[in-house]
Amino acid sequence: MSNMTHLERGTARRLLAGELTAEQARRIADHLDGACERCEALLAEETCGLDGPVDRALLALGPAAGKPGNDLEWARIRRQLGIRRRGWLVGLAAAAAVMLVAGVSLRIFQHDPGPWDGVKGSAGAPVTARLRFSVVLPGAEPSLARGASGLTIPEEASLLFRVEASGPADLALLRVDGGELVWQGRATRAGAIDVEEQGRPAAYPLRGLRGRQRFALVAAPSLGPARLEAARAALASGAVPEGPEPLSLDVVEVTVR
Amino acid sequence: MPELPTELDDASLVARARLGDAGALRAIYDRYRPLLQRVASSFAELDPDDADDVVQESFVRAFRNLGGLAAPERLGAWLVTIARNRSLTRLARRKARQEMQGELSREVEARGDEVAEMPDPEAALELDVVRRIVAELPEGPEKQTVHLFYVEGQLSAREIAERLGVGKSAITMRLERFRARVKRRVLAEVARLRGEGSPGRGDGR
Repeated sequence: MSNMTHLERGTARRLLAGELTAEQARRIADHLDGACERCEALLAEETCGLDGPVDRALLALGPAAGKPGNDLEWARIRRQLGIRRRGWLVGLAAAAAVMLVAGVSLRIFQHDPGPWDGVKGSAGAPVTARLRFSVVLPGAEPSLARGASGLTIPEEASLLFRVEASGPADLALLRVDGGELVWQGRATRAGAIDVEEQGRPAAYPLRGLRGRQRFALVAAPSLGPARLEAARAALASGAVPEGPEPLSLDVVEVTVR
Repeated sequence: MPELPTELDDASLVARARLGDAGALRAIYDRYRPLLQRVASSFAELDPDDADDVVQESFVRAFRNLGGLAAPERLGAWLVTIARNRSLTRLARRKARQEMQGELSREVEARGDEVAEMPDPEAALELDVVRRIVAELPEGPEKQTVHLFYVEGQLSAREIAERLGVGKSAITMRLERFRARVKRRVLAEVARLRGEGSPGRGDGR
């Protein structure tokens, strides 16, 4: 910035970045307090970091009357992003839940413990949480099986998860190998929680997955985004997540064929 | 009970989206789609289909770059910036095609999508400044246009042009001129706050 008369390219950006002295800032303020078409022209042309906040403020003057989103457009965006749809199976899960209540006998799939070396640990954690699951097979008469780590499961099946927590805790269910956050919730007291989507029991579809799939339940009294991300990264690299206080961690593994 | 993505604040949504939570991405889309569509519709030269394309491109670009968003709590401002840049890029490309002038397109394409990372007290002043400027506008075509687009917020710039019986570019120009004035005044306020504080890191020379 030279002798302060008009803004020059980059001046606004440097001001916002805190790179100017207080005296320089005062001179800019004094100059911009007067109507200066030249500076306005420069600001109209130059992106300096104020554009988003100013537009938001302008648009906040009135109702947010833009067209709302729609499923078709969202599908196009998702396709461009390459997001594979893995929607929860709400209806099927609800039917399975009814079967459970009705006491329908459970069929056990082939149980092959295999070489699993999954992480399981909650030593010293202020709360502990366990991950349980049932296997739902679709069809005219959906069947339900009690889940156990090490099961081999056909890909048309889906998983119905249940969390048992020893006390109030933030909970996150991750698919370890895909680094996917499958579900997030909170236990307000000790007890069991069925994983739900939009208030209804929901089953996680396995279609499209192959081979070993590990699901990790991470729990802590407070599990912020940073800690959750650290836990996800640690699990994905095969490490046990670390932190200021121990996390409760329960991992189950199934093989999808 | 699981927390629905729609109930989360922007920073939490971004955190979940970065973990690959498609529900969080959808929640961001639903929350900001109307706002982005308004940004695109402030350019009268863009027809409704163009505006929809801009919105879609903006979300794709934003979601691909979500990992680089330094201030997730300012997600909305960032998305708006992207939508504005996408709109300008589209206009510039069209103009370049029409006039066979590629320079303009390249220039606009080079615009960044950054959002000022100002402390919260400064971030809050933008709306105050905007309200003051609108109140101070003298009666006339500019005030009428600003009122119709931003305050009533129901019409696109193109529809305003039709209603007022003026050219599309005139409406875009009025809105852009007003916006530049708002930027100047906001920058003046920020500069005043910075001038009252401790000396900056550099000497700015």
